[in-house]
Amino acid sequence: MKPESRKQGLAMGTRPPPPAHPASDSGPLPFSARRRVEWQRWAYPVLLLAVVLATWEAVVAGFEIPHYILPAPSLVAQTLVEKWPVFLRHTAVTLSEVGAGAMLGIAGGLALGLVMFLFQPLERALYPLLVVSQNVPVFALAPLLVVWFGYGYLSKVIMAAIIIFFPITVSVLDGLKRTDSDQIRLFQTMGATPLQLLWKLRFPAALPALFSGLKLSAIYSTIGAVIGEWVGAGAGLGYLMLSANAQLRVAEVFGAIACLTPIGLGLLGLVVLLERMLLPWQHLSRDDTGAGA
Amino acid sequence: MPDAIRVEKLSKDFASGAGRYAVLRDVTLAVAEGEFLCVLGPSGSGKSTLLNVMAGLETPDAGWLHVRGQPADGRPPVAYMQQKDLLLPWRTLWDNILLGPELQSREVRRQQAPRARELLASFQLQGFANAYPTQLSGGMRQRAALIRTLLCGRQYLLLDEPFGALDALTRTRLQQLLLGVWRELGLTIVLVTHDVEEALRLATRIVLISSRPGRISGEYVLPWPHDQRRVAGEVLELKERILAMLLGAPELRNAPDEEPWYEA
Repeated sequence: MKPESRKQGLAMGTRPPPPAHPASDSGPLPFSARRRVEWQRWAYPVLLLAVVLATWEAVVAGFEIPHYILPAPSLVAQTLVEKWPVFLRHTAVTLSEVGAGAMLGIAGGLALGLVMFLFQPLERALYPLLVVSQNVPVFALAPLLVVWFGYGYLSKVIMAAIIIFFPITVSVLDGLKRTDSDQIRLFQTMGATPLQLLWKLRFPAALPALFSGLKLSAIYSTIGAVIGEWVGAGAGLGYLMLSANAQLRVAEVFGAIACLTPIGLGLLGLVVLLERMLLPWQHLSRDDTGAGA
Repeated sequence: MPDAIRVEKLSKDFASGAGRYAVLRDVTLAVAEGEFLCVLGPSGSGKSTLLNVMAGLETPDAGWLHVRGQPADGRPPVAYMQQKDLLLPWRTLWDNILLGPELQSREVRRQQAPRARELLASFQLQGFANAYPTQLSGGMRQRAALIRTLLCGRQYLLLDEPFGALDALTRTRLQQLLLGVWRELGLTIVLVTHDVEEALRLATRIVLISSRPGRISGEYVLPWPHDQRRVAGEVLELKERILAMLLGAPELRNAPDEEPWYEA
């Protein structure tokens, strides 16, 4: 049999009209409107926090609660201002512990997740044990770590790393395993090597899962360092809390808590920023105008 | 000239919870150089499995696969496309369509860039090279997937219901584009579909495949030029005939044993 003649070339006579802009049905939000939406997202929680603080202040004043039971927010703020060099010094110690712990935990989690993915027997042997190990409260490990690694910096860093590495390991492993099998087939028909499959498909496909793990880690990041400092330390916000608590300087305890929060939030912000930079496509939709010529 | 692709006495079973069932039984099919073959069958008839075997993605339990007269081992030189566009969401349209050349080498990718630009223009996507797949409509994504398939630099295209997820109008446009590149590049295409209209619009030959187990149950050669098919009464006649076959009309039950309707 003979297929029909082929002299027509690319059938331009019948080609479709130029496509309308994909966003033409529902145009992008105007810039001002988008900013308003962004602003409102912050406004509500901030407003609620203000109401809670005001109520707290009023309750302390109204019932004349002594400052060593519950200090008023204004007293906490005053303490923070007056003793800022002390808070700054201890915050710096905790921050550096969390930072070093995060780097260690992330590197370890990435490596372990990848190795478990590449060697299935190891995954089968190790994964259940890892899950069980998460049942051991970190508090139980803290005294041991202090015995093994001393009262100083190292035991806190390892403590922080232990808390951070687990969500990373799980999310990397999960992300690498969940690659769409049809996409794998597509790569195979294109003659991809195993290394290309890992580097150009599985790894980028796992990044969103990895970032979920990173966010979780960022939120929990301060726990390890603070527990380490509680068990035994000469500096850091955990140490400051304990010593202030023992001397009924409760306003200082609250001050330390107030200094602790920005560390975790800052890390979370860093992760979110990194995610936006590395995975810009995650936040795009057909409403975004990036597609234009 | 040897057949472009030839499968012989192909059988494939699948194991499921209830046991093994036959997906393909004794399928012999030759694809000639330059033809546009549509494999038409109901859902679950094993036509995708047939295509996967041709693409080297699945090994048959029995039978042989030959490409250009040679036994195919490993990866046959074919380009493969599915109903899902499978664009990588983290890559821009440009980086997506150049995936095939990129996997060969950086050099090949650079060589293919002008061709990629041409194809973007003829597929009406030239303004969208830097867009991410999430920013594109379904039709645009499928056009991009087709460009990516074409840029693999293969003469043989295996398409598994490539336009199944599109609305009727977009599907028609893409069918026209596909016919255009088939003519222009002298490609050999095997397209699997359950859509009789699509097969009648595109194919130079249609092969019917039955379900459970999948067997070749009919073959029709379409002698009409593609641009005359809308008006040809015989096309409608053939459509009725094929539909009757697929629906299992009793008077046509034995049709596979008859001579093909059109002599090959």
